Amino acid sequence: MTTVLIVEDENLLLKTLSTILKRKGYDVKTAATSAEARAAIFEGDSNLDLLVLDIWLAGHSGLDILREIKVNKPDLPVIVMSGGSVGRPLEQDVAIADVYGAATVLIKPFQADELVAAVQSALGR
Amino acid sequence: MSQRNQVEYGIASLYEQVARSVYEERGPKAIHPVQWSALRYFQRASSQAGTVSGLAKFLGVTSGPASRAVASLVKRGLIEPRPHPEDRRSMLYRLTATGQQAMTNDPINRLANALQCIDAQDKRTFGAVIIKLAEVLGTQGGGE
Repeated sequence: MTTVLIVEDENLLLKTLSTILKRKGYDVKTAATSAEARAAIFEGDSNLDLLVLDIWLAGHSGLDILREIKVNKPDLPVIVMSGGSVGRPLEQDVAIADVYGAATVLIKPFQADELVAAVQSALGR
Repeated sequence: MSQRNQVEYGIASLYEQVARSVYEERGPKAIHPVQWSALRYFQRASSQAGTVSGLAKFLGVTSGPASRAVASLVKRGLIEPRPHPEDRRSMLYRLTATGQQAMTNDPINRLANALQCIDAQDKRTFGAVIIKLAEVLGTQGGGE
């Protein structure tokens, strides 16, 4: 079964995204903080097939996680989600995510079918 | 100017020249850089995100400049409005066929194509440097 880790600090959105992908048959793991995300990605035998990463986690940049993935797990596809943040244009976040090789950037708000299409595309199916 | 500062000034000058050369087209009919950014946003935005407020977040500006950019692109026939299905006070914008055609000539492609000639390792280094530079400039805030 394909395992997807969703990293999102908004609890309601995290549950919604999780439900959408579970209904599509994915094994979904979740993380709500940078620390939880790092543990799930880098510690133990995570066996993740895809990461869906919110770029802003409680004021911290998920781009740091993306940077670490590029170095330590370059084969793990990543879908970045962002709705912008205070103090930095979303345009810059999108460009940085592109530089780090994100499979796609989903700009919030997006619809369920857009998430599913992005997941399928990132997994190459 | 110190020797060290001279090197940095030279790099900064070349960087500025390269960035400026991307937008060769000039004159009243030219699409301005901020309008190109807006077109890129509406091309990439999710179906529910193509709003003026979404564009404002993307550009890091207030709603006024974003509204003006949207109005000018609508006037030029490059984007078109449609009612927001969940918010009657808001409109959603998407590229028209003319806008999609314009995006095939997005001037940033010229720079992206030039980067394809750069060695992969150099490209990684350049990417890391430019991200760091953007972060430093962001931390420093606006100009003097």
